[in-house]
Order: sequence, then structure tokens, then C-alpha cells
Amino acid sequence: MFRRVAVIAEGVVKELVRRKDFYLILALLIIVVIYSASFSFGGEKGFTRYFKEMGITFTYLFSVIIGVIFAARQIPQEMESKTIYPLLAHPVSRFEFILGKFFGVFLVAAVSFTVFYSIFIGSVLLRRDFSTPWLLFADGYLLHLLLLSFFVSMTILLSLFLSTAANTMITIIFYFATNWFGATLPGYIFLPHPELFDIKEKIVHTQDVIPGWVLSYLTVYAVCYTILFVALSDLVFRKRDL
Amino acid sequence: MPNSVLKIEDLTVSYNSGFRKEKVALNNVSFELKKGDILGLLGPNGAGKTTLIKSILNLIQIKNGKVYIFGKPSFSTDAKRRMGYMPEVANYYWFLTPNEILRMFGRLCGIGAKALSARIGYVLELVGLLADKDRAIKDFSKGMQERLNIAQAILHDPELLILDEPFSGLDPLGRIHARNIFKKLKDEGKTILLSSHELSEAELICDWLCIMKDGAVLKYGPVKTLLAEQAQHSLERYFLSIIGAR
Repeated sequence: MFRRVAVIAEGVVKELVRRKDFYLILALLIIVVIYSASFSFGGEKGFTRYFKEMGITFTYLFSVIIGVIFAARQIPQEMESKTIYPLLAHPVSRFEFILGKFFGVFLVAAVSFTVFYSIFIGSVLLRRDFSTPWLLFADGYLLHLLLLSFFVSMTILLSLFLSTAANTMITIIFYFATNWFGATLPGYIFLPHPELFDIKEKIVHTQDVIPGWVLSYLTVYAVCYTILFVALSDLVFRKRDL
Repeated sequence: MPNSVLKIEDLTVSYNSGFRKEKVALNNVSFELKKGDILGLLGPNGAGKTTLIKSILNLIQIKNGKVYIFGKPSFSTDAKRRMGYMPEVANYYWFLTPNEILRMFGRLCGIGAKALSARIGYVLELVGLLADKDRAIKDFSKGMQERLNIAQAILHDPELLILDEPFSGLDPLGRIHARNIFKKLKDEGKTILLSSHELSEAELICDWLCIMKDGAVLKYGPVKTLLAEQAQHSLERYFLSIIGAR
């Protein structure tokens, strides 16, 4: 089973490497970083904060965009182009197919985020700002990977009901809404809380590292949601006529 | 049923076609395919040929009935491992090469790396794509994609082949080439289920026929027996008389 899941996931990663999306977003991020570095205002301290905020906001946002776009188009694209027929005619179950797509897209988003985050940290260090502890950077990395896992699994589930464009738009709006409005959102307690994984303020303002028990709680929270979304995707997809 | 390769029993499939409306796509279809047979699945558009193939491949929900491949339910991994499928539309991931596509399918079938490389070389040579094995599929003509379609279906050396309109999209030379490949597979003892609108091609390679209309089997039997029944010499005339067309 794991070999078949890995083969399907590998196909998704190859798509990332051969499509232009990743390179385009990477170029965009580099432009944003260089552009931000060209400003000079608010004194050295104020500017450094601004620079870090711009960098990490776009690093988070771009990796979420890549994950959501890839997740939203995987299954509808397979069904529309009928590439799914020969694939499922081979010894692959629908659950393995869903799982392979999830891991593939998660890997794509995680690799993209790792590249973007490295550029962000590199640019901060190049500005000789060593104020943020490495452990806080590591917390930010882990929590954002958990956030990507949440959004990728949710987008795959929604892709079974919505068109690629509608799914991408709704998921990105949800990402912004939970980040910007948080507890003021109507029905907040009934919604998942991806904003809990966003610690960019802590990184920008160099606050304390996240306690271990909070990290553990958030990991369980994200893993539970991911399992729920993947299981629901399997439940819906296994009954679907292709 | 020691010789039975594919057995379909009372297969019924229906679709929702609006509020509280159901359209029966397959109605109590039953037939059996034995080792080494080539069965031509014929019928006009909407007869249920593609639905039948999708049912065998578990791509749609079956309402009633059973499908067995080598005595095992068609959804089982073992059954799928012994079956190859060539879809009507030859679409493969545009960002991969034939070599990569076949490697992916071969790994899904559990073929080891060394055996897979040899097998990929063999099937690509058989379909005439060996020289293009590292070219991106997006640059392929329709005919080349159809040949890749055949290659992926026979890659894991399946004992049962399900071919959906295998001659569509092929030029005359391509058709002859494909026909020769299917004859070679027959000589190797493979069993083939072939859905086609090309009566002349079906007549040349099939030894059994299943003629369908409106989701039901109208006629099923060996080609020679069926033609002799109505004193017909051409499959085309026989087909037209069975489906009630002029």
C-alpha cells in the first residue's frame, strides 16, 4: 500500500517541478524581499521589523497558495482529463489514490515553504539581525507545516464538490478571514482555527518561544483535522461514479 | 469454472437522470469469457458498452449483479493485477515522458526495477515508441498517444485485456499495427474484451461477439455460429439486422 501511495505522491511532486507555478511564485517572493530591502524608514529597528513582517507574511501566504492551488486541481483535473481511468484500473484503491494525492500535495507545499522560509531567514541574517532565536524560527516552521497539512486536506475534500476556481477562492478567503478576523468571525467556535498556527507576530517582535505543551496540543489538533478531512474525502470519493 | 477469465452475472447499473428518475444503463447483463478468447463488444451509441467496461473496472457503482475476474471479485487487487485496460481516450500526464508514465504504472503493479526497465523497452519497441521514450507526452500526436495507450495496457503482461475503442484515433497504418499486436497477444494466449464501432476490425480479430442495445445483450456467441444462424456472410449486415437498423 505504501509503495502505491508513494508512486502517486511522486507524480504530484513531478508536476511541481515541471510546471511554472513554483518558479513564478519563487521569483515573486525574491522580488518582494529585494523590494522590501530597498526601503528605509522608521530607524533601523522599525525597518527591520517591517522587513521581517513583509518577508514572513509573503512566505506563509505563497506556500499556502501553492498548496491550495495544487490540492484544488488534483482530482478534478484527473477526472476531467480521464487520466484517472487507467490509474484506477491498476491495483490502486481509491483510498490509496486520495492518500497519495494528499501526501504529494503536502510534500509540494512543504518543499515550497522550506525554500521560501530559507530565503526569508537568509535575508534576515544578511541584514545582520540576529535577534530572533533559532527555536522561534523552528516553531514557526513546524506550525506552518501543520497549517499546510490542514489546508491541503481541506482543499482536497472541497475539490470533490467544488470547481477548482471556486475551491481555491473559498479556501484562500477562509485563510485570510481566520487570520484577520479570528474570534470576531460569526460562528467562530464552530469553525476550525488555522490562525492558531500563525506566529508571525512573535517572530517579527522576537517574543518567547512556544512552550512544548502548546506545540503538542497544536500538533494533535492539526493531525486530527487532517485525518478527518482525508477520511471524509475517501468516504465521498469511494461512492462516486467516474 | 477453471477456464473462466471474466464472468459477468446479472449485472444491472442505473443512473439518476433527474428528480426521482432513474435510467437503466445495463439490464441483467450476463456473459462469460474463457481463456484465449477475443470477444467483440458491439452496439450503437448508448448501448451500454462503456458502462459495462466501467462496471468491470469498478469505476461506477453496480446496483445488482457480480463481476468476477479469474474467479475473484473484479475490485480485488489480485484481479486488477491480472487485467490491463486501454481507455478510449488516451490522455496521460502531459508533464511526463512515456518512460516515466510506464515506470509509474509498472511500480503500481509491483514490478521490480530491473524487470520493469526490460519490460518498458519491450512494450515501447512493440508499439514503435522506443525512440521517443524520453520525449514529453505533450509533444505527441494523437496516434502516438494511442500507441502509448496500448503500451501501458500490456506493460504488466496481463492475462485479460479490456480495450475500449482501440482503433479510434489511428490512421490505416496504425490500425494494421494495432491489429497485429492484438493478434500476437491472442497467440500468446491472452484473453481480450474489445469494445468497438469498427465492425470490419472486429470481424478480423474477434472470435466471440456480444451485441448490445439499450443496456441489454441482444446476441452473444461465437462469430461463425452467429453469422451462420442468419445465413449472413458479413458482420456489418448481421449487426444491422440484429439492432433493427436499415
